[in-house]
Amino acid sequence: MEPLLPQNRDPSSRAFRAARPRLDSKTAKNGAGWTTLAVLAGMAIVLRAGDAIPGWISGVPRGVHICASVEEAERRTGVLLGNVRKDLTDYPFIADGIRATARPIPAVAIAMQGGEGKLTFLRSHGGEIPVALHPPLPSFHEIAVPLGPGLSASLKAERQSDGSVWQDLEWADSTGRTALRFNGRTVELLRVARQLAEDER
Amino acid sequence: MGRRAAETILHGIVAALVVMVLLRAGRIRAPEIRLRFWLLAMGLPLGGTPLFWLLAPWRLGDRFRDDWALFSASHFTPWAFHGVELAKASALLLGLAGGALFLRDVIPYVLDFRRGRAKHQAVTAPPPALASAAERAAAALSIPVARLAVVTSKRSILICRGLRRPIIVASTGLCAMLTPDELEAAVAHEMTHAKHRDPAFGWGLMLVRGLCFFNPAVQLAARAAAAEIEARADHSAAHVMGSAKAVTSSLRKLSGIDSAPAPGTWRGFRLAAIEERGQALLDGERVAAATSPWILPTTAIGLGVILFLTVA
Repeated sequence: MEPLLPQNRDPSSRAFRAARPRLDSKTAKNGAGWTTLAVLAGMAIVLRAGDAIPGWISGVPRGVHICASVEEAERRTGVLLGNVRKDLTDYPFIADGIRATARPIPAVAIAMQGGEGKLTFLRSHGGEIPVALHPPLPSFHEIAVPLGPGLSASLKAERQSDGSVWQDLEWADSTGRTALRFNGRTVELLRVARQLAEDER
Repeated sequence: MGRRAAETILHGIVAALVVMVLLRAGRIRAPEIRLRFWLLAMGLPLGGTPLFWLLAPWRLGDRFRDDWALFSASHFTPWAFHGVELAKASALLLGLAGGALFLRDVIPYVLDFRRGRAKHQAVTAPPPALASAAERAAAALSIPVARLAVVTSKRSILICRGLRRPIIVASTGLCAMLTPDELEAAVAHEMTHAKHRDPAFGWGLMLVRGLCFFNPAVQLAARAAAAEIEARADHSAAHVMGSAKAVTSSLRKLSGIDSAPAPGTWRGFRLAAIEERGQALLDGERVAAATSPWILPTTAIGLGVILFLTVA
């Protein structure tokens, strides 16, 4: 497109003469190329940052889904949780407390609040419970406890960042691993764990 | 279905934003090039997004959303307001905005079309000034003279219509109102529309807008594309005339800008846009900068990748 400034008018013709480019055209073309790449990269960054907002606000890592029900968690991961609600009737689920992830190993975490304290139930299918659901805490004591015939669990006393002490009980069976994190009495934790282990058998 | 419509809206917004920023940051002024960018912003959500669904249905799965996607609206799903999911509510509001934008433009468009239908009005022979203006414009544009139809009306009517064979419809009121130079400029503007088959293009745009009536980004991109078509015709008319003055002068007269519009009214906004359009012509602001031919394909590929990685 030619310029329209009156001073560029060619008196011998009705058409305008092309204006001299303000910039060296090669420079302008290179600049436009970099601008294009910068705009595209900027949009990718904006989208990625936007995607991270829910995680920043709720503290839920990427790849972890908040499920509306136990059934949805089972559907997403394939981890069977049939006995959880039956065995843990004293511990109602916390709102948005059911979280599931499919990678690296399918696993589910359910946060509950009962009269004895806060309890988090975790179960994976086939291996270690992913760190996204079961972040490691510094433990200061660890023992093995029997849960039933031929089944023992590892019980750890762990300290949270706020200084509170939690108990972490974890055991493995043929299908995967189960863990309970509890901030109440050890006796209650073992009672719940034995009931779950017995039903799993 | 709802999720796919939401993805089309999301892709439209992303594409329109990229194009808007790129045109501004890259100082791309030429209407012809700007038009292509806006068409890209419209075309990607309309053509590219369904292609993604067809060729890569696994994009909608959790694995892709969590491991590969740049953005997944499903990550906002747990957020709700009074029991309504935020993501769904946003999509619904955007859909309503898209519908409102579509209706806002389609109604005047249809009315304009009806107004330009010469066969429903008294037709008279083109005045010599109009006929000679059309001949000069056609010669300058290297096209055959478009058909002319003159309707007897005091109103200033000048429109190019006709899907297959464009026809320029003018009114006797218009011929009386404009000076010979202004008339020639206005006719050259319409001739440019005829040259580029803009009436058919306009209907195509409306068809796309109708298909994506729920998509506000497509609606806005289509409006921007229409504005660039007008800018292209303005520039062409200025070249034909050898001066932008006659074009801007005719624009002002045809829009009635000198009859002091009420500030803050919708008409006031429209006239302000026309004033801006004329000023851009006079300033030579839209002088074509050197633009690499690779910018558009690069943008198309880059945007395609970004949209592929953006899931509703």
